[in-house]
Amino acid sequence: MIWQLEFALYFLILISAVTALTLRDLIAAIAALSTYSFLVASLLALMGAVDVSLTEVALGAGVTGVLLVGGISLMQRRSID
Amino acid sequence: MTERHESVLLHFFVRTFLAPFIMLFALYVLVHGEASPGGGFQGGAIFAAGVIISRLSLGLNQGSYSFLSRKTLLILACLGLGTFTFMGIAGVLFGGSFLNYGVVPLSWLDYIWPGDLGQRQMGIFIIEGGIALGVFATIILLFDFLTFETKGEDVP
Repeated sequence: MIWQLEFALYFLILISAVTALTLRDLIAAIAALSTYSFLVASLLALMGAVDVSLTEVALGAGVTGVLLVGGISLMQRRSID
Repeated sequence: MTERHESVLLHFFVRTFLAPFIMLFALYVLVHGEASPGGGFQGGAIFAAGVIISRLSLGLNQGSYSFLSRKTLLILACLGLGTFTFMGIAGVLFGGSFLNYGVVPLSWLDYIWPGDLGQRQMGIFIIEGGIALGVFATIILLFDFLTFETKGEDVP
């Protein structure tokens, strides 16, 4: 495994997770969460778990983002706290 | 919340070019699940994403959809679960243990669909089809119930 690529992926995962937690605009937070999920999936694919990675991409980055956007369309877009 | 505008071009592009290829890839993932990464769960989820992306391009709060209504989706989900359970019990009926497909006589399927699949692989394939059907219908049902505002009326 290429350790530079793995290190860069860990760094990007950390950045996207902190971004998803700190953003006030919830749609943007969902986008950051989908990015986080996609990066985790590419890390899993690098480790050789292609099956888990496929599930993570299909559910974590695809369907969960759509469901969360659908949920936010029923409430207000900006977080209060 | 800003005003929503419908885009005919976006819906046409998604429905014509994007969704069919996503569904084709989902069928590939489902059928080649035992030889390569993939399987029933992933195939069903990707297939549901293909349907959801064409529904999403119409905009949210569309009410009920004509292509796959909620009742049809509920029936499909129950059919997937029923396929799984029936295949599991069939192993018991033919003298094996639960979910033992090796004893279920499925070799006659080779005459309809030629191939070198054994009984156990054919059983696994039927099970995967059931899982894919259940996951597909359940994910679209989740999307439908979440994006539709019920204004005091009964949810079917």
